[in-house]
Amino acid sequence: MILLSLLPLLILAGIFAFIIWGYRALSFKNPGRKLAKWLIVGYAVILVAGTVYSYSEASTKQVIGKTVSRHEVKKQDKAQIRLFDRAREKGVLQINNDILFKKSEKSFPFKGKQLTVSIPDSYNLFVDRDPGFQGEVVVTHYMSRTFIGNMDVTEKRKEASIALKNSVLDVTFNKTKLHLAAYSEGFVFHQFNGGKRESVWEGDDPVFGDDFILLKVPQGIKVTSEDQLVTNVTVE
Amino acid sequence: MYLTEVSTWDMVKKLYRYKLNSYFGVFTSLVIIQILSILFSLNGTGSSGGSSDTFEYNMNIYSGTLILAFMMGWAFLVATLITTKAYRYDDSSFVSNRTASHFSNILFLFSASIIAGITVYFSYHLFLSVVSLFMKVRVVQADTLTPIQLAQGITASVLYIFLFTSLGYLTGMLVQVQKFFVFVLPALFIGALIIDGNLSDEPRLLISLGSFYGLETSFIVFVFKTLLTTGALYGVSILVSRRVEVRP
Repeated sequence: MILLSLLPLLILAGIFAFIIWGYRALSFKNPGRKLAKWLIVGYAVILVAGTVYSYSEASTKQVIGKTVSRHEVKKQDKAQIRLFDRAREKGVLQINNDILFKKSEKSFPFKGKQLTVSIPDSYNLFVDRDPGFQGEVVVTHYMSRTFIGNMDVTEKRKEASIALKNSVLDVTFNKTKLHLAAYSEGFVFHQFNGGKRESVWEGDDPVFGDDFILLKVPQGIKVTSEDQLVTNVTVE
Repeated sequence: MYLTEVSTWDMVKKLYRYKLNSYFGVFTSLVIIQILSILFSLNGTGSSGGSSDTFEYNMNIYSGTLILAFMMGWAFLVATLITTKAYRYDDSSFVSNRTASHFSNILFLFSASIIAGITVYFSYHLFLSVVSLFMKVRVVQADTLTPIQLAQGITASVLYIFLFTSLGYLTGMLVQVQKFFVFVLPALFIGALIIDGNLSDEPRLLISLGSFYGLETSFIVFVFKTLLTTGALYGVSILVSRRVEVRP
């Protein structure tokens, strides 16, 4: 405990010692000239090797998601809101692949007359009744697009767990956790970009896409849910 | 009347060559400071995050800005040290005058700034490699610079570092004229910051100073701004140095 409380002092002493040492190292009467030469040459080699590695491997292979312009992100965000509003208010769901991403689809044989859907609240449940559809239900997990800055990371999101037992369809959304890194040479390399942002973290707030379930059922089946409002839609 | 007339430019060249060969410590300290800055940058220079019901992310930001900041500090220190007696007296062992000594110092500091500015870029990539090799992170974005952006960025790094050498050189010269500047300059600097903080709701002094260069989006204007400031600071240093005692 005492050692821990002394830690800031020790760090300060270390920095002070380092400055004194650096000051002495700056003297041209420095006796370790040969060592210094090796240090500089060695460091130069390491710098070149690091740069070659960074260019060949590091940045390109690991980049995730598709980069889009900030304008496109805003356009998508507005389009998503319109799409959900239209579905809820007018009962028309437009499956636009530019806005929506189909994460998974499952079909279950179903002969009953009533289907209860267990789904957490705050998620949309859309039901499409197809007259030419018999003996099965198709459950599709859709998500609208997710952007971190100007990077589309929708495809990194996890699919929902969907299971049908007796006449209860259980839907659980799984949380996706991403640990990311953004690299930038620094502000000085972006200072003269004509006012464009340096990088992704300088972008606007992230856009978190909404998950929803589209349930395709034969006509005449009653769909209920305890926690969520069931919205009947016509799919376009 | 001398048998051989030595021009000031010849003296400058000789002194400059001598300094490049002798001030080895300047470059070893550059290496050490850069390694230190890479180590400090490993923790990330910033972070952001967010979450919704089904999605959570945290993002560490790895930027080369900290390396450049360390190099600015290094440039300030090197320029201050070069004005000390030990270095000044060394020039007098050559056939030289004060002007030659100053110009050779400025040339040397400019050369050191070029090396530092270029290595800032390389050390950023070394840092990037270390992060990629030893820290398990998925990259959401990595910069792709155009050749023009790269050239402008490296030139701007050099100019920023050179600007700090001129500031260090003036500080060093003032201290050589009057030792009490060792206390007065930091007191003035810190005092100005405190007064600035007390006078307005938001401190503006450093921000305004930084914005003057840092928010300049025209490369040509930026070059003019930094070179004019650097020239002015070196000019004042040369004027101030007239009051510095000569070697007995």
